[in-house]
Amino acid sequence: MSKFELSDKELKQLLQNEGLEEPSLSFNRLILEKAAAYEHARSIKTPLALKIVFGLVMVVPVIFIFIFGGVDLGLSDALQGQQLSIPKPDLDFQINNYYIYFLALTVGVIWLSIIFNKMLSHRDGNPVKNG
Amino acid sequence: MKGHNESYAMELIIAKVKQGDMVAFNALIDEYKAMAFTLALKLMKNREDAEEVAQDAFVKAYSNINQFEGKSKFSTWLYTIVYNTALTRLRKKQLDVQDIDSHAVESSAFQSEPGHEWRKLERDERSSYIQQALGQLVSEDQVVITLFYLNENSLAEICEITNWELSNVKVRLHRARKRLLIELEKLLDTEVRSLL
Repeated sequence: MSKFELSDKELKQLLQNEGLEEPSLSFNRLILEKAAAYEHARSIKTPLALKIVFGLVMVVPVIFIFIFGGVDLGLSDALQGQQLSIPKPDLDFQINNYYIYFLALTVGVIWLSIIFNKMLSHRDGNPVKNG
Repeated sequence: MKGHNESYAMELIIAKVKQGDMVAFNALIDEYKAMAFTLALKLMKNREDAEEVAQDAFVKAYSNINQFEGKSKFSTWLYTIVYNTALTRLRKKQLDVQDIDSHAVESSAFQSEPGHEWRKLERDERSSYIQQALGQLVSEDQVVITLFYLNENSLAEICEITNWELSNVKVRLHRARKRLLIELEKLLDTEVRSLL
């Protein structure tokens, strides 16, 4: 047990006499710059057409691969005996396979970077609670 | 009355910040920067990191200002962000913020002069001792001491800021206070012995 005797009031006074730490003089300026940068980024509007094009670029190859790329979803087993068949039009765009693979790879990389970015921001950023 | 006027002024400032008023935001920073920085410094242990944490916390507060609905005090909401930002930064730096073994502190033998010696010390000397004694505590003890005694936050507010249980806050505060006095006592004892 401590022999040192200080009441709560005395300890509070003692610590308050110490005062608070002061940050550097550029503290406010740096925050305001960051806030202005945030406002600037928020004010940039992505055109709707660009969003639609981006969405199509991201989604169409996935649909294409699943429908025409030979991916077996097991639907044929599930639909067995029901006399249903998925139409598979024979499309030939006369595109070199090299470009198709390159496109698929690019889309894959973009998808992975989006998922990875989401994971990182979820891990790093404690979501701000309502106050 | 004064307190009421102050809180009304703060409500006005926050309303302006919600509208994107940078001058109002600057006033908000001025009002809370010292405490936010002090809190960050207790956790980060160096000024550069503490400044970055406090700045990030202010920017987060600005970008999420619409989530502040006035259910709690603005300061409590802001210090919660500071605390969480500091913890995230610490995790990134892989610093160990585990409690030091309390046994090691409490089992150390000491013989000291009684409390009245303390009151004889000059202010500058006392300040140095307090800083040294506080520096001996673990980060979380420093945080709870700072919030309760320096910023006069209530136990409920400390719970909100740190996300600890009320019983945990009470125990930690009691233990931190005891450790702080022990550290002060040890420092004073060493000083008295060195004079002999």
